[in-house]
Amino acid sequence: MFQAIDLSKSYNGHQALNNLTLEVNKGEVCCLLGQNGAGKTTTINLSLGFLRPTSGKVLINDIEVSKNSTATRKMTAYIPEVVMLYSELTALENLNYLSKLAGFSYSKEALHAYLTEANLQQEAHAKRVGTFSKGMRQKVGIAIAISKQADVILMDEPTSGLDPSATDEFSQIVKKLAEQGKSILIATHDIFNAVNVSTKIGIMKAGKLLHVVKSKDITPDALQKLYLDTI
Amino acid sequence: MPCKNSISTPFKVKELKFVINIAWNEIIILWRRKGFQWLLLVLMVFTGYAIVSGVSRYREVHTQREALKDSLREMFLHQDPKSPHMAGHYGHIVFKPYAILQAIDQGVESYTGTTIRLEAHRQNDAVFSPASTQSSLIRFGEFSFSVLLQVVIPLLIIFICYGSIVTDRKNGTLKILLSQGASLRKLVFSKIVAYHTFFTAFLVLIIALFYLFIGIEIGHAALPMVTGRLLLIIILYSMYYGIVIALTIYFSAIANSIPGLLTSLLAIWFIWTIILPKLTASLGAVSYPLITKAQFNQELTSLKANELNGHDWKNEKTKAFIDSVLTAHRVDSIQKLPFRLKGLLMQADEEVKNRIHDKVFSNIRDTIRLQNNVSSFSGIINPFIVVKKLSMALSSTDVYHHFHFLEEAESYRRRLIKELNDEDTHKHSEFKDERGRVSADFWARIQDFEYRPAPLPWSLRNSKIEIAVLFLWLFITFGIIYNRTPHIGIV
Repeated sequence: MFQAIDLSKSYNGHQALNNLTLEVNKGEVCCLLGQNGAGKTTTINLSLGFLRPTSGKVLINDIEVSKNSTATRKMTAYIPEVVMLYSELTALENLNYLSKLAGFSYSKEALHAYLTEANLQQEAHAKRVGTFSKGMRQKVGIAIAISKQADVILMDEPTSGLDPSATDEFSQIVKKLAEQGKSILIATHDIFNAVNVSTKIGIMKAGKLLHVVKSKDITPDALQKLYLDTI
Repeated sequence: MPCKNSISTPFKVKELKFVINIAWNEIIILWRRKGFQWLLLVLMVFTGYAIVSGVSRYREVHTQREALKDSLREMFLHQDPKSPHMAGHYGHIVFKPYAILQAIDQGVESYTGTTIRLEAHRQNDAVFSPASTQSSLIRFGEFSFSVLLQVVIPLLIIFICYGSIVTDRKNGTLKILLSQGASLRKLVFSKIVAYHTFFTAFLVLIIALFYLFIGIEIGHAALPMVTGRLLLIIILYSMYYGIVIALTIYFSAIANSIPGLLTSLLAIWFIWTIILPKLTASLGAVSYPLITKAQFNQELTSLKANELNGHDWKNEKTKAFIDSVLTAHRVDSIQKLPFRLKGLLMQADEEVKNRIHDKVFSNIRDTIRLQNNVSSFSGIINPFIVVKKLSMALSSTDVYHHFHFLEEAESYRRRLIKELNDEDTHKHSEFKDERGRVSADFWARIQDFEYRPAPLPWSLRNSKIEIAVLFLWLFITFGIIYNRTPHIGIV
């Protein structure tokens, strides 16, 4: 379970995040919408322990990130906007390497299974990631996140630059992960995908979380209007 | 999903596995990097050239000097009968043996003399340095094993390691690595382990090839002489590469701009390798200037002027010496002495001049030592200089090893001249003919000059400052990385 309580962050006098309070329960997918500089990525970085909050806290399964980021990172998986990984290694090798870093040692069959679960075609498993499209790399990123068996998954603009078919594939995987009980927080610009994939949506502006709406209670058009009115 | 979680593994084993995982991954990436295998091949070709040319040069020069030594020994043994005093003036010529490890590091050998004429009454300089017989291009430096180890490989380390963390940071992979549970400290240390293992393995391989080549080309008898020194050379360069790799990776971890990082690292390499060594050598020479050859000769002449002179019987000190000898033997004339005074007088003259020479020459050595200390202490800001000096010391080619040869040659000269003077002192000897000339049997009694190179502990004793500075660099480098890495910002 993910909780942000009165979370604030300022750099050199600039308030990047201002008293954000948010909860993502098991099986929930929360999308944070907002323009560049709204504080979405800062929220993710604070949740991973890459930044220390100026005030407030992030809890992952009730453990405070800034006090024990080693423990909370074990429970958190992260998928960035661009999953570059190591282009000299194959998808299988990248997954093997990164899952070992997370403390897991999988058999070759298990690694193949994770890549397949992330919808990466079988013939791509043994190919070097350097030859992959963005969508294929993203799938390896998802496989890494799945293999970590984390309770919380944080995604930063995961569908940016993906074609509609790849975005749809991605959304299906996210839904499946939510069904498995993961708490998923996605920072995105993609309003339509947000409605499609999430259970709740937050709209941010200048470091503040101004609205939180349930996806089932809002249509894409209404969300778009609310978003445009807010920013 | 079949999974084996390693959470129950003991902490240290888990940490070690973690480091090995990152390091092994890094080595695979390095091996598969575009053009890397070609680069390695080119490096191996250069290494092969350095090994073959170095050992071949050893064989050529060693054979040449051994042949000359044998021929001079023959001449010495079969010289015409002559008085011991005259033989002292003819003297003998000795050569500095070509050290096997000159193939690794030429040190000062290109610029120091290799041949000394040993004669009575004077200490001649070593002459015929290799540089004096070659084109001026040698001043720009030959491509040798030491250039490869000291200049090329560190440059290669910079080019290979500089992107190791900054690239991961720029493309977002660093965040994934850290979110998977790797701390930046572990990541930095694991990458250091990876690259250090790779370059040390390369170092061991090329030194092993060199060792093998010595065994094949020169003979197995040569191997015990160089084994210890080669092991220390491996340790020395492994430590240096450890420092260069650690600093490169640390800078990669704190850098934000890839081109800026490369420029900075290349600037450091240039300052360490090219600028500072020349600057500190000049600083040493300015701080502790050496007297000129003319001043040296003038000082010797002025010091000798007031001393006993074996060739000037009117000299007050010579007269006093003769009187003391006559008194000691309770005789009133030289003819009544039971030995030839001339031989005794010549030996006394020799000892006086030896003392004067030792005094003036020890001042020069002290000055050179002080000059060297300036560059040794400059190692505090430039580890390259201490590595360069230790490399020369371990290869027996630094200035102290040259002094060691000069001392051995001088000591042989003194023994030779004493033998001649002693023989000259005898009124009758089995080796002398009726005209007082010594025969071939006498020359055969005199052992030839066999230079025994300085042992390894002696070399290390002369490099205490450099060893201390190198360990200081290691300690400070890894201390800074250990303490500062957790404070490096991730985003």
